[in-house]
Amino acid sequence: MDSQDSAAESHSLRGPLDRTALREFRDVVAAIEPLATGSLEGEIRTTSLRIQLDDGIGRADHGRFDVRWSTTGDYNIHYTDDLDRNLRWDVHPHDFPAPTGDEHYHPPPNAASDPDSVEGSCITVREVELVARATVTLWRDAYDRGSVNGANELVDPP
Amino acid sequence: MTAGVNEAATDEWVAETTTFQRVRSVMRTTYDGQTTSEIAARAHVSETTARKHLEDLAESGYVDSSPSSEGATRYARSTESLILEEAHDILERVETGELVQQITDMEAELESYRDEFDAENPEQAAIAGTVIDQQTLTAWQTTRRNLSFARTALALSESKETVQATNAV
Repeated sequence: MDSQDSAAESHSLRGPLDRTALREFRDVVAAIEPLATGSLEGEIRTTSLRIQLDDGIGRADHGRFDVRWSTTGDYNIHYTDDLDRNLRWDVHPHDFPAPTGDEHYHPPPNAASDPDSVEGSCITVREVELVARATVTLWRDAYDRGSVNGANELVDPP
Repeated sequence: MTAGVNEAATDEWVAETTTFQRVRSVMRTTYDGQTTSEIAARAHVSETTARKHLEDLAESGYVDSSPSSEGATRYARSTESLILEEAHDILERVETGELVQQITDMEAELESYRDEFDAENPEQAAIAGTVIDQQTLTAWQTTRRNLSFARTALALSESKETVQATNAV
């Protein structure tokens, strides 16, 4: 197994993808964020939840979250926008030296996966409802600040 | 202040929902048996409240309950309830023709996994000692699961037609 295979292997979600969890995530976001529209990628062969955001952070025109959620509660919440900025909040086993838990964050501008860049995730809740709410709050915070930098650290306004 | 986002999400959830809604929401995707105490903590309700709601949810078939050897009852989402929920959602959103096509495609995908790993399913492959990488395993299991939902949707659709037709005469 070459290093790329083993990297993919050690960073995968455990368990099958959970269509029910993705529908719940979509419904929570729809209820609390008017700028967001969620839809399943694959109504039956569901591979992810795609959440379109009608306005962009900073200079971006729009943005998008791609969410994958497994029956074991592992997830990927990947943000991307038309300025090609990417970041991702993850829960799954990994072999990064830090952090110690499964929750971690790949920072912008390209959702870096090198061990020095990966951080502990600021999202510690695990229920679908709560992670969905936290995701919207983090997006709104970045949107209000006009920057994707620091998305993983919610700072109270002065 | 990173603790803020988690607390804020929790506080909002608690403020905007009833205890019953929270317990049901937690149980919606709980597939391994959990105790009343564990569920109460996750739903931010008292154990007494959780027990009451879980008994109601078990009564209506939303969750299954099973006593465990230590005496603490464990609750999990009822598989039947889950399958019907997904099948119903599929029926609402997908036309029959598309449903049939997707089922055919998924069956073909599963056939290719069976050929590749010379096993009926991942469990059989594991018994035979075959190693499958995590991504392929997830894809295989995901398709098996979604195929089950889709087949149920199709069967429901056909049965509904028949029953409605027989009701009419």
